[in-house]
Amino acid sequence: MPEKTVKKIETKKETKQNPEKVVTEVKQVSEFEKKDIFDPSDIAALIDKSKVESAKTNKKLDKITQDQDKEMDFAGLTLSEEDALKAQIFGCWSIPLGLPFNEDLLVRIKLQLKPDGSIIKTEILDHARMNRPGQAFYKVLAESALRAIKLCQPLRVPSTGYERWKDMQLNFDAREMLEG
Amino acid sequence: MNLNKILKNTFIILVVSLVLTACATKKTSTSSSVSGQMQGDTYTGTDTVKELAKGVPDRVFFATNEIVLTTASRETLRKQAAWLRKNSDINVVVEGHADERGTREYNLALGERRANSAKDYLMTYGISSDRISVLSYGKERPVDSGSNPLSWSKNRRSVTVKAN
Amino acid sequence: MLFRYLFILLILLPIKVFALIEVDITRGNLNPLPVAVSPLDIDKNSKDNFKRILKKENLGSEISAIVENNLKQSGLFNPLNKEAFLQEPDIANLKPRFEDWNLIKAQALVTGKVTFIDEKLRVEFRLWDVLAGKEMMALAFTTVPSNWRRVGHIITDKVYERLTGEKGYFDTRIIYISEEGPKTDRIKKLAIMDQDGFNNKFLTLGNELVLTPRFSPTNQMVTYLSYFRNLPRVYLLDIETGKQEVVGDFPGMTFAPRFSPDGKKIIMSFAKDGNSDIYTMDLENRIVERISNHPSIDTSPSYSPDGKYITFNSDRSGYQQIYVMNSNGKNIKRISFGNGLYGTPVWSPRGDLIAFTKLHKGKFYIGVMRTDGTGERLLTENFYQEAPSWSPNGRVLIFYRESKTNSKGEGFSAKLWSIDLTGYNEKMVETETDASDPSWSSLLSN
Repeated sequence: MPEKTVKKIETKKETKQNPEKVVTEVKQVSEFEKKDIFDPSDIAALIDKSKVESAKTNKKLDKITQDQDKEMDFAGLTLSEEDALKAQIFGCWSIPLGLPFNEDLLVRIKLQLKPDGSIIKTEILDHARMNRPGQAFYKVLAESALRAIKLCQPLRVPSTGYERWKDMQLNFDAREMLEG
Repeated sequence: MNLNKILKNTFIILVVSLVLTACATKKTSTSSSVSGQMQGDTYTGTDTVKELAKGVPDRVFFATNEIVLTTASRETLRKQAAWLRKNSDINVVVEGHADERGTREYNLALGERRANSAKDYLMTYGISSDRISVLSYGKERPVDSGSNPLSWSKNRRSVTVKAN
Repeated sequence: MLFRYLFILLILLPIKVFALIEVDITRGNLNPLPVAVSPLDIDKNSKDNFKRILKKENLGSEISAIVENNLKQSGLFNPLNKEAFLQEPDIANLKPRFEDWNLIKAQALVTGKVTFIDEKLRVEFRLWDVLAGKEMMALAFTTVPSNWRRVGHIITDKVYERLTGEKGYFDTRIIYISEEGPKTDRIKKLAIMDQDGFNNKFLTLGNELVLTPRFSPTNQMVTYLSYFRNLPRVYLLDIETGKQEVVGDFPGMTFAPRFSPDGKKIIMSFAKDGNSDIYTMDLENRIVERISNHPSIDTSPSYSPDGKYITFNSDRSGYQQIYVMNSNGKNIKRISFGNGLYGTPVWSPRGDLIAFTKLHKGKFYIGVMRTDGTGERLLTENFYQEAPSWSPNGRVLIFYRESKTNSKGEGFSAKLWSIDLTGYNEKMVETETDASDPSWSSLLSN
């Protein structure tokens, strides 16, 4: 079975004797390797916009959770809270169609959240797997999960009980969708 | 019931059954004129058949995936052999063909097998192997472009062609 | 009911310790990933030079159009409408305003620049993660201007690999048989084209029947079956020099030729006296070796990518089935056991699967199975289709279909089709004429 090696994309040298072939020397050209081109003030603008939206969703949640007030004191999300969050992320997650469907397609992401559902920090568990040879698809899968979380900000979180859910883990598993 | 009525009923029954059998016979006779072109899966008609020489058909037909020579095929080949014995300076090429209902490469091999099946039979009637060469066209040269069992049966063939 | 009891139990437990909440996300959307492919930036001087040499108005847009088309055809990506792009190519390449691209729902962005320098074409391109606001990849390379289409394909391969984790298949060619004329008198020619249908060239004139071509792993040679002088034999053709030669000196029909993975041998069938067996010929020393020896029909051989095994088609069991053996012909094992006839086995370049044609109850199927015969999956069904060939990344299969004719025997056509391994993205591959017997090259830049 041919070995799958993860090539470093930064540099690639090609030597060809065939005159018809492309003489290519592919090399890293980026000025951005070290620089952070990401502007934090842009995120602030996004958050301001999202505050208005989260106010609306919180209103909705209040209505739903009124009857389940007692359960709010306990660990875990209620069924409806979980369903609401799931439904939201289902809508944001673009599962890469290129994934091999017969491999382990589970990526677990730990989140630290703000009270309004926006993300403070994300951490990919099994981080080591991202660069393992033959598991290049895992990196792709993990990136798609991160994109889903970013796209869905602010997450549909309960309006109360912040201590309970401020640390959360999302287990993205693409297997079901790809096998079916 | 009186006798008259019995007779009348019997008569009616007789007439009806006669009519019915007549219809049945009619049905069979129409279908046999179509199936008269095929015996099982093998073409038995004369459409597409040419003459190698007077009274000598130039080809034999096969069932799907088969290389077996039917009785009719063997008779045709005996006529070909007889003609070849009389015309000892003539050489032939036996061309083998397959229908389109199979993969291309396998059909090339099947055509070769069919051609050899015919060649072997000619050889049992004393025709030297030197006079008979074999060429397979697989499914590449159909004579009938139809997409139905009858068309396909006409394409499953081995054709003897004069080489010189 | 049970929940109520648990509920009561939980009241009694201390509530300050919170277990980490885990939520399972098992669904998402399987839509192609929205990607924005910005036209490549090109300065006026370069633009004028390329227009002069290549007769192309704006080479930057032409190249990005190739990338866009490739990504779309793969079925995995959805290139967004350029009309909605807010940033100009030059600025986008230097510092994209991610909000702009996010606004049109792009999740990834491709930008770049084309320059005419020292009579050559220099291209640099970047791939951006729009949502993370980060650059994912940046590469540059130089080539001769006439290779401008390949530049688009190479960029696509890099982008595809970065976004799917798999090698691409866009800088490749397809060799096939071009067909014209009535079914009973077809004119067939050997033809070659880029994987996206461009640069189509005929390699033979149509005077003799030609069939089943295959690329050598070096992509410079082709082997095929020709009926030149009414003698069906396997031939070798050098694409660049046009030089042709018969393979070996066999006293009978040779057919179904392929190259070994190292390009040093041709493996094929040789038919004599009603029996077809598998043989190899070394292209250097011309030594012929017999690999199979059985009164049955043995044909359609295909090497595993490591050259250790051969899968082939045999009717030794009475009907066409698929077998695997060591490359020296020993240890023959049957691997197809389903209902129906099996043919044209081809080993995936990834080594994990064998694709095949199946005929069952009058219908033709293209399918795959593991190399031990388990896990048979049928991908598509048709009135007539066969002969799958793998893309070099082992992900896509190209094959051909023939149509039914009407009651008058008219309306025949043959076309190339492709399908993704997952069964997605089944589509016709456009060709100038009717086409059959496709074979996919390996990556040209390897």
